[in-house]
Amino acid sequence: MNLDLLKSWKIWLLILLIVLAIFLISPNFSPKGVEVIVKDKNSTAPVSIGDIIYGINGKDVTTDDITRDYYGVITIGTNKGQKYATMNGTLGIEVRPISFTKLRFGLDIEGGIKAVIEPNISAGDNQTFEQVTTTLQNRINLYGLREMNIVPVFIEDKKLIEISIAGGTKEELRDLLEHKGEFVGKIPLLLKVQQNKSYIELDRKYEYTISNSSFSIDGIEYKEGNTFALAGINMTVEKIASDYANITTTPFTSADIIMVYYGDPDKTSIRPQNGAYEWYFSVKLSDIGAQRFAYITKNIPVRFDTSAGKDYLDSKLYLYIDNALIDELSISGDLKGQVLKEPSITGYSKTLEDATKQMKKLQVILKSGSLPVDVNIVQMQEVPPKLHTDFMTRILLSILAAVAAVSVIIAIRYRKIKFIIPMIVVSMSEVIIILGLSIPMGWTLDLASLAAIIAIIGTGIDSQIILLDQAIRGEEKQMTLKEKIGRAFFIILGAGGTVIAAMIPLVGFGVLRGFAITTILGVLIGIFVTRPAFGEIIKRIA
Amino acid sequence: MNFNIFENFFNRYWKPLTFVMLIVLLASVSILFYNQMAHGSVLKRDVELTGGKEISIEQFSFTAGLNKITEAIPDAEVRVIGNTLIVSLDSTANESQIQQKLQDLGVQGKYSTKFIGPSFSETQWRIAQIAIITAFILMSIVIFVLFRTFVPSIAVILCGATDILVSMAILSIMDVRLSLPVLAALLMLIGYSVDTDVVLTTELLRTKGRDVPGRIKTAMKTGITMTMCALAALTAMYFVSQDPVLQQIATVLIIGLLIDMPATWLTNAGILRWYANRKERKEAG
Repeated sequence: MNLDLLKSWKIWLLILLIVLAIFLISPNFSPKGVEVIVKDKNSTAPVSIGDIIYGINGKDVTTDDITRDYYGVITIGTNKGQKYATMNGTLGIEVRPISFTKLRFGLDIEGGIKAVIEPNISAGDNQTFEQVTTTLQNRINLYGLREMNIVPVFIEDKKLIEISIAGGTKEELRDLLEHKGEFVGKIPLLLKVQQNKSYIELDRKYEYTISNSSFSIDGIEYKEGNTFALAGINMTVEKIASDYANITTTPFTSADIIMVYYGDPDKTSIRPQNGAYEWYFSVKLSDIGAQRFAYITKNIPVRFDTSAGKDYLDSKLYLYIDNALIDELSISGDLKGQVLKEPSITGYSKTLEDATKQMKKLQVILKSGSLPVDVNIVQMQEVPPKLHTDFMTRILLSILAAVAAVSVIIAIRYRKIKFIIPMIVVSMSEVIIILGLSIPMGWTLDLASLAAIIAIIGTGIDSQIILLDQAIRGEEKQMTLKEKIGRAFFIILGAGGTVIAAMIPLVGFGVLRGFAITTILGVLIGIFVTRPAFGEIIKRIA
Repeated sequence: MNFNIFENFFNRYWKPLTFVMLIVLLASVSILFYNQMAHGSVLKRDVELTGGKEISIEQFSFTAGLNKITEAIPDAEVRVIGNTLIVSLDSTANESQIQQKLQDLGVQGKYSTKFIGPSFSETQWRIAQIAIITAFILMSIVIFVLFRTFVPSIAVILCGATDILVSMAILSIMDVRLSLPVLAALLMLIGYSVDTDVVLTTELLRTKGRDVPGRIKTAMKTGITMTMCALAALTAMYFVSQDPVLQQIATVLIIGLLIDMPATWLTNAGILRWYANRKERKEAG
């Protein structure tokens, strides 16, 4: 009887899929090592995201060993071979224990932060949407190499971006995402009425007049709050008095930033000063921006600052990000009329950690460029990682408990081991195949998917009950076993069809996609693989 | 056990029994209608569908009473799902401050926070409603294609509607909120609740030879085993997983399956029995 079973291709298909699924899941019952999930920008550890670290200096590692300080030359055993590094402090990486399988679990299990972002764009504007996505992706990448997932989500006519990050804090992410990142440098100009000279000199001379609170330059009259451009420099009229006017000039914006310096000790540093920490970094400006600076400063008088013993220009350079003043720089007297190619941005923070974070945030925002539009955070969720082993144990136990509970019901009903064992085996194989298929499909198992899997154990067995009941009914002599199984398949197809029908509306519904896909996949595997195989078994044991 | 008593009772009073679940259905619809009129939605909605902030503390431990929390944080709404404490807040609340307050009160566990923007949650709620209605319509189409006869198809669809609506009414009485996992479970219920009806209807329409009560009995044996298996698996999931999302899903499906039994074996079976009797009489006459 048993050998006869092997003649059926349906059985072979089931066996093939189970083997394939197990191969894909590649269970590992004694996982060793840790996986790198975060690598700081300034980390010198010779590993990258996704690498597996087995040992440091020949000893097996735990997650605690990673956060320790190391000095001198160390050897790191990784899945890419032995690596050597000279360390001076922490490794600057975050890790998680290696998982038992290749299965990928969702953020609600692994922990992390999820944000859903809505860029303020019109419905058909795909180009801007792409640009926003790329900028945000760059920012997160630049901030610290984290394992992240950034996907566009379309809900009705809304275009949203869903960002999931392992580790980090909500505040950090909010800072990175919410900043539009518009960088502007401003220099105020004071224009006075002078007897012999009432002009400013940029690429050429522009004459102005101020009288009775009216101001005109280059023959055009402006009011307070008006903006205009001269020699490619944007200017705003701030105040018009009887004999002077205040003008704000904009020598450069985000578009003029060519490079933000990291790492180069001459161009970026943090040092203790008066009980706090001063940090600075330089940015490289475009030639046009540098030229604008030269034009503007030509018109600013030089003053000798007695306390510093140095010449300074009368106006300062004010730097803004998203309309917030982040720095004001005194301009040295010898820069008057000179091109400024690499201004530096300075700041103070109370602690070294704050200084590092603050500097890094600005560097990242400047480097990734400004977002073309405003963005709104419409959803933000911070999930602590579930204690991995603890949670997995509970899920595994849930699955086993579900199987055990189902077995008890089956045992009460059928009382024959030859029926019970195939039912349980086929039911479990369904779960294994679904899990296995999740890997090549590249989908992460979230909590809802796991719920669907457990529900499938309960309801998947339903079809087998239908098959078995149809097969073992004795009263209808006029129906052959084949006809009975045919009728059973009619029921199974009908029942499966209704489940798929109910799940289809959820496939396009962001958060519940995993649940819907898992359920539909479970039903399809049932209809095309496990039920036909179980039908073959029934034909031989009923 | 002697099942004959049940069988005799069932065979004798099947007509009035048919109406039991219809009355329950009517009562449930009234409850849901009242909710809609009084509160603007059939079920209280969770933060994902109303917008706002939420702090949840999984596997929480807190010895003082929950009213201590509401006293300390008057704007918060506090409730417990399984082993998880949930504190709902306005979207303007400062969740970090409140988390600190909770920790100071001595609420221990695994904290997580959630913020959902009001317009985003409105969109989700609209889609959720569309999803339930679409799922129900698609399910009905599958049933009609399957049986191609009017009365039996309508009976199955009615039974499906009973499962969903009565379950929703019970959830509202239990003060369970409509969250995304609950929504997923309700949709799953639409699919699975009609499984047993399909078994029953197929048995009645496609089996020749046996009398109607005999056919119902055969279908019932299969159907009750099916429901019991599903209930067993879900109960195991509820108690072993200890996870709020899994527990919510399990709760909804367990309630739904418990409702499905009388809906299928009293109402649906009753309607089909009446339909089969009438058909036989017509064929005979």
